[in-house]
Amino acid sequence: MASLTFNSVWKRYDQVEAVKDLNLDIADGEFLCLLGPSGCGKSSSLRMIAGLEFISAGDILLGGERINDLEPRNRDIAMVFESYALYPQKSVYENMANPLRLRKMSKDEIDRRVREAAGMLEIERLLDRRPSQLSGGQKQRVAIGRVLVREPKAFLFDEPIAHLDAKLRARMRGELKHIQKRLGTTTVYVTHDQLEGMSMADRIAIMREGVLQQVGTPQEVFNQPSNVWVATFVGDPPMNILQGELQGRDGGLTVVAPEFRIDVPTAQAGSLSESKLADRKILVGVRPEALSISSARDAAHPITGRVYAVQPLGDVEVIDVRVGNDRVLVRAELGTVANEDVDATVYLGYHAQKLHFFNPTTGVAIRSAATRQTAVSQPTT
Amino acid sequence: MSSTVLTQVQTDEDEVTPGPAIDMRDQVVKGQGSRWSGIAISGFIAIYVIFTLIPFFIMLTTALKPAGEALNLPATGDWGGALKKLFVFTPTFEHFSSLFTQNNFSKYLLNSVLAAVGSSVISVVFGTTAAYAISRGRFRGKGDLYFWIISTRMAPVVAVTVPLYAIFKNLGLLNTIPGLVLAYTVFNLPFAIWILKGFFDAVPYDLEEAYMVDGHSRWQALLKIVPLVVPGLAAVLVLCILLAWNDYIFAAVMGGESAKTLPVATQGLKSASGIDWGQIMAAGTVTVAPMLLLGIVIRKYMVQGLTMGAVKQ
Repeated sequence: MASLTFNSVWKRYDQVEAVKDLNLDIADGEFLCLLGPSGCGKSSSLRMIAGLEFISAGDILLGGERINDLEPRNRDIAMVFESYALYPQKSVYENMANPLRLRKMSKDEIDRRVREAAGMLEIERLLDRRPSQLSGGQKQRVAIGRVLVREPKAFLFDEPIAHLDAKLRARMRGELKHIQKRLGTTTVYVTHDQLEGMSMADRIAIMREGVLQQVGTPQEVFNQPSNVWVATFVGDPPMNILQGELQGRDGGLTVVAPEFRIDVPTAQAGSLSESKLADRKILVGVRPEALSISSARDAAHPITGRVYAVQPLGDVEVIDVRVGNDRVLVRAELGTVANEDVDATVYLGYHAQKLHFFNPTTGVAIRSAATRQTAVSQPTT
Repeated sequence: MSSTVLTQVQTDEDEVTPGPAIDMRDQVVKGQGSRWSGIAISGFIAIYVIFTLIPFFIMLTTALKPAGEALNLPATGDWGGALKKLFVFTPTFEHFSSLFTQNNFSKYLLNSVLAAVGSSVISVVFGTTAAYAISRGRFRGKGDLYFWIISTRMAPVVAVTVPLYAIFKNLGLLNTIPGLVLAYTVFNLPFAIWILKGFFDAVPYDLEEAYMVDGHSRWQALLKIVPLVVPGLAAVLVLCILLAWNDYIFAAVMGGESAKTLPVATQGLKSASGIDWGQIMAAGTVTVAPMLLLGIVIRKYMVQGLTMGAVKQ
């Protein structure tokens, strides 16, 4: 168990810069998720920790020690691969025992650890089988078991549940989180699925095209996204982003667009008027959960729109509403809008305290001093 | 109620989906077609098999027939007699024994074995390491290097015989077994690299990565995945032996007398005074037999080895 630090780490593949100047502190025992779309540099970062990729520039410290020049086997880390990478000629027992045999552990100790890990993952009956005789879910557990038998300084997970079906993924999210909390080992978990990051991690580090966008707890990243890209990446259905122009009205600020008018809450008006906006253009973000829908126009529902589609999701429904040329998603109770109501005129209301404002040129969020969050938060355990 | 839901999840997971290969094989075996097309296909195959095997049959029988009887032609129109002459004769081993006692064929056989096996082993050993490097490595010019290596096989062997002869002469490698081994390696090594690279490509790289993270060094990881490539290695080894064994050009040009191999020696039996068919056919049999035996012994693994690299996981 140890802390992990990235100090100005770069990764270059010939001309391509996969990871740009990454600075990240991971606390001892923390579950950190590296989140981002394909090609954002999260896997490269993980593999640099493991020693499977050279570090082009910068340092990685594990437990305070620089590990740049150490071979993977000397770094005391254990890794679960996306494709499981189980040894095909060995039984499940031997797969899990392999790392321990290399460390010259006694037969009894190896047996104890393998059986303990197998028990934790409920694969005791599979110990004599070969990988070719296992289903995807079982292979994945064996891969995790191979990592659990050791007591390394850190666990590394490279999209381990990406190839499982949805039901199994949901179950594994809970199991992995439980195991990590029980063992307390520092964990770095790479995924492109924001749901996995949000549900499992202590903190999430979001990357895009090699650059770290934001680090924070799931709460922070969800409620205070540092830029518009993070805001639309985290959360499902994604945040709605509307364009408008900032105008002063009745002593306050309003965002004006041909189809709607959104009043800026007084708390945020100060930082908005201070920020330099080209042509006073601004982006307003509001999550589907923060919108309400009504068939009648009133003070609480000032925005006019037309129903485009309705997606019932069991207990809620997501309504796709066209406001001018924009598409706005609204989350509402089941039955608010019927399937036949396509093209019906509806009126939307917004929760004033849940508005986000972004600079259209830079994408950066504009916040008032009270709610302002530094882009990189300190590690919590 | 919750406990039953949990057990349901357990059993769903247990099912291992059966592979499609079994179903496909069943379909092929059952087959669908009229009886006539079946007869036509069988007839065609029978004719083809006979056509392929007749030269070997004649070679073997001629080698076993006493001198002179091989050319004892039947009278025209005497079909019964012809058939009789094909199959009925008193077999003798005099041709075979004369090869080994009078014509030094035991030495030539040994030369063939040494040259073929020697060059094949060298080609496979270095071919494995080179193929591994090309398959896994990431360096500038890798594609060009690989193409250059396999392009050496595109040139006809005859084209390099003269320059190679000159080089060997200067190095004093003519008429030596090591020289012949080197000459065979010239065309076996690129071939081995080419085929083996495909086999290494079929082994996913994260298997070695898992070994390295578990605690092995890079070399140990390579050794660990070699068993997965062994069918391919065996297939390539056998093919290299075959190519080298059957070679005539290099052995004839550069082998001389000390390093004479079976194909060249067989040709050498054609003397100015005449052709001793019995002896030549016996020599042909001796040349062909070891390769036939080899093929029969590893037949099962050849198919597996050659097709394994074709399917990407």
